[in-house]
Amino acid sequence: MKTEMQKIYSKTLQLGIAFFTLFSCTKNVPIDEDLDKFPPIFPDYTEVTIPANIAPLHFRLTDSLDCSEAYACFETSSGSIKAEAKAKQFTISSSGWEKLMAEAKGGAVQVTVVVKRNEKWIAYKPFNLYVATEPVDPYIAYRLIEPGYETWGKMGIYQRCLESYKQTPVAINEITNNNCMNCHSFCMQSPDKMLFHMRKDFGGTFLIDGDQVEKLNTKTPQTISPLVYPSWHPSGNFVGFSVNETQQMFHSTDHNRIEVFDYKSDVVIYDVRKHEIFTSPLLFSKSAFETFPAFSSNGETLYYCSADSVTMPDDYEKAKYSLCALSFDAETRQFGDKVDTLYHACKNGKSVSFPRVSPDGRYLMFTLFDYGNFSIWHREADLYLLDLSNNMITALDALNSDETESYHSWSSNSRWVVFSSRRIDGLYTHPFIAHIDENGKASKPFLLPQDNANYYMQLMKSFNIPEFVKGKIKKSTYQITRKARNDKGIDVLFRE
Amino acid sequence: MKVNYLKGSLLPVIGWTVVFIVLFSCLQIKGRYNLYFMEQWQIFLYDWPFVASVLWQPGGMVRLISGFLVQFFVYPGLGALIFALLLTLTGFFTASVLKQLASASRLFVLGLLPVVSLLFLQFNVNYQLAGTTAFLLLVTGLNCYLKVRSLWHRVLFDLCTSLILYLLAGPIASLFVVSVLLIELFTHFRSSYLFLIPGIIVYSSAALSLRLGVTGEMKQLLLPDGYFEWHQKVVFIYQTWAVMFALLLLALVLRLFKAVKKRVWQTGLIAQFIVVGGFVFYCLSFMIDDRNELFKELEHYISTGDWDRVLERSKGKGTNNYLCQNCRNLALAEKGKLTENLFDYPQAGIQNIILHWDKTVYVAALLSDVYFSMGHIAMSQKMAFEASGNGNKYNPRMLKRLVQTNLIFGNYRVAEKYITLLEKTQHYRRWARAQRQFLDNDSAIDADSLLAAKRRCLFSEKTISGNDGINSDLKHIIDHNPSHRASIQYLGAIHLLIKDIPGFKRIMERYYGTPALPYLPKVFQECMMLFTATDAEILERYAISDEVVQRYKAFRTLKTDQVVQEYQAILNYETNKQGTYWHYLLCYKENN
Repeated sequence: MKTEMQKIYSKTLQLGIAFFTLFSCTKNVPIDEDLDKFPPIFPDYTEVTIPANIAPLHFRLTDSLDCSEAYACFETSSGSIKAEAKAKQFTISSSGWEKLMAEAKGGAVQVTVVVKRNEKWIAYKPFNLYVATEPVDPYIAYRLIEPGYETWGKMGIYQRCLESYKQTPVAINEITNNNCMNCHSFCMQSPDKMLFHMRKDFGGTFLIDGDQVEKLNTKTPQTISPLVYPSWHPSGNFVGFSVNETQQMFHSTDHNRIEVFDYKSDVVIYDVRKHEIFTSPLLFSKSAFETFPAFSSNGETLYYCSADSVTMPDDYEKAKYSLCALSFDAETRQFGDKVDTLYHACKNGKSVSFPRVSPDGRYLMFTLFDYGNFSIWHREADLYLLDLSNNMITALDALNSDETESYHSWSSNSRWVVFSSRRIDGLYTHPFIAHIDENGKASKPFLLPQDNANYYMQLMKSFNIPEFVKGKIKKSTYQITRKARNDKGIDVLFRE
Repeated sequence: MKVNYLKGSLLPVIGWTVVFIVLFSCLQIKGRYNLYFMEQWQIFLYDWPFVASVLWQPGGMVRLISGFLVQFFVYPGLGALIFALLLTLTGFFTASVLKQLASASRLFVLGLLPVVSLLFLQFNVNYQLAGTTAFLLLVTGLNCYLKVRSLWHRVLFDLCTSLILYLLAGPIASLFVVSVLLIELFTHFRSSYLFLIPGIIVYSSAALSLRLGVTGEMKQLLLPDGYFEWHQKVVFIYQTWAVMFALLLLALVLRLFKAVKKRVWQTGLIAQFIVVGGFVFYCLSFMIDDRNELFKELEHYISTGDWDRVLERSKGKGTNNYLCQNCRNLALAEKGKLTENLFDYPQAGIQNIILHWDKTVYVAALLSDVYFSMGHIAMSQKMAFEASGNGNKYNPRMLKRLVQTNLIFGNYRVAEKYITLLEKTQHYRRWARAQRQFLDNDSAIDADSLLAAKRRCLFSEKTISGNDGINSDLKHIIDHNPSHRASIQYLGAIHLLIKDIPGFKRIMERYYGTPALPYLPKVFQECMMLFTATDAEILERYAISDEVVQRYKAFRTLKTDQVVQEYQAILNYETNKQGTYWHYLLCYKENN
């Protein structure tokens, strides 16, 4: 959704450079027809808001569009770059793109696509790439894995530089006997303090803190599983985790394909320095399913999701998770004695997952869907924003689509979010990035750019748990693998 | 002289041509289904990102070449031709190496030993053809190396070749450097220390690859383990390399004999043939599993829809061969004969008709076929998904199934993704392109007999697959698409196999006389006789045939041990007497 400023800017830019356009970028191309619609391109980068430090947005004309030649003209008030389509793809050099971004920061780049069809040159309605002033964190990390089901082949946790197209592995299971790795999480988006899990061969939780890598054996007799969904305390001294007994089942015809549910779940806190787990009875109840912990940006509140326990799998549709909050004192490791319910699942008839607080503490983003806790397999799952200053909840219509929107995370400056969406084909999850201003207004998201615009069509994997990272993760795959293979691990204790 | 020269140059040509013909014949007669199977479990895309993804790692080139060759194994005869050529060349160059090392001893027949090993190794489903291609490069490299005379040229050649081999062919480089070192030890002992350098370089390259995260273990980079899909804990994977090393050692020892008497080398030749023959039998004894080979054959017939061949080849196989039983019952269902001929074949419980999934891709592929036949599209899709792309193997037939199931569900964008993938293959592109007509086109799907029929099997009731049992899902399918005969056939057959007579009776009461079950097939009639035999009215209502009635009467006259004897004879295919449900009911005990 455009802000007023953006609308005014857009109109001015269009009027101001419309004439200029004809006599600069496309001066050698006589336009026979102007269309009043945006060009059919993939990814859809029309009217998106992007950071200045993003890699060039390469796109292509969709297959349905028949043309013999095509050009895309990228213009700012200072200059322009023309890109000729090769195999219907428009690419732009890094240096040219950087120049455009520098010129358009705080403004927009106007893109005009012109195609030749049946010997006529047709110009589509120009669209804008709004360039925000706030930069985005230079990296995101994610897992690449086939989208669901029971077995898996190759998978890995990767980091991708947003300023280029470079993707490098952090941990890949080809070198750990094809085991499972998941739930990577970063303390305040720091690449130097992170953790993730490995399951099956060389199983454990790997906590990386600077040069140190710790392998933790996190299953205790008092907890129902090893530690699962993580959330770092901003101090880096604690990590909130869930423990879950999870099952997966398949729908016979339902378009949601898969149902993943918990038979049981609880929330615990892991003390990084003492290698201990502790909790509160309010987080460890047999009559409720507590999961998805998320610390506030000041570490004084623990948000989490909770549902009344029901009989699984028969009552899977009755499991609806509320959004709750409990105070936490990091000094004393004590919790409050009263749970605040910020979103009542039963009252509203929906279920909450993945609460995530913006680093500036202003907003909490969460996923809302019909029931259960595994939102990625719910096509109706959408993103919502809770304003923590007034507890108002709004749907992020700018980010949502008819398909699943699920996992999300904030950039370190609270102005960008990256989230998982299945809007492209309904099955494979892809990362989208969107700008959110200080008023909580979201702009149209853009798909993570790739050098080859056909990349997503050819990739048979989903992007899982996209997380912003402030820098490159320096720990090598080799170092992590050696730890996994050779270290017995530290046994974590449960402190009653 | 001319005659001798001609004999000298013609004899090897004839000899190796004979080897090629023998190999081709063996592969075409006995090994063709293995070659078809190999093709089914990999995919080669004419696409730079795919090529780049394979090439980037050590050994990427041989994997790419092998993948390129294996795609042609789908064509009858071509797989045998290509593989026989690879093996023949391997044998030829191995023999050439032995000849250069110990020409007087005439060890060329022993050059077939690695060929035999590689031939049998290929029947292991986890072994990649890249290992064989790499081995060919090894012996080619050794041949070239043996022609280099000067010391420093040899050192340089060794260094360059070992590095190139490591980059292009992977672990075989370590065998190359060890082989060269061995040769130098025997032939130029004093300077042999120089040939440690390439070994150090190869090892260092592997160590660097390990650090860069190419793989997790050194043995994947330096040993034959690198040519296997999964970590193998069996020793025979080292067999080919060990044989090659032993051959080199033998040749180097025999090299001492500059001249060998005719009688001696003639005896030696005979001994070589005996050794090779013995090695063939040795490999045959444990490297080929008949059950696996039968399954590969049946899978081929299933993929080509040759149900009669499935029935023919699955005859005589025991009930504990569940894969075979599932294939056979699938064939019966596809021919519409499941409930006519079910007990003409030995059956043993539900595992014979729908196998429990053991989390392997091979069983997943079979189950996808079974569920598709049943009309259970969601489970068929799930199994096809588990069988393709997971376990590091892409199965093009399962990718086709994913196209079909996603078209049936109306998930057109996902179907398009798989279509786009298959369009990048050589053999499947035409089929893939033809599926584009169905994208976003419900009318085209409704007009297609297969897709339309399967689409009608979809039901709107929200259920968790298998939560209430497969029979519950089948009932939903039948209710929505009564004309899909396979569903009712499977449903009835499952009840019969688990001996759930009351459940079976309820199905008959629910569906008999409806479009789903307008008449009772033979096996259903046999079961109905159990509770309708004395009730003429019910006999008439269910139109039980006189033939079944008479057979039942005759069966009732048999004593128990006679029934058991007949049942055993049916199980062992020792009788032409047709099996009946009554035999199964009385004689089959679970955990027999």
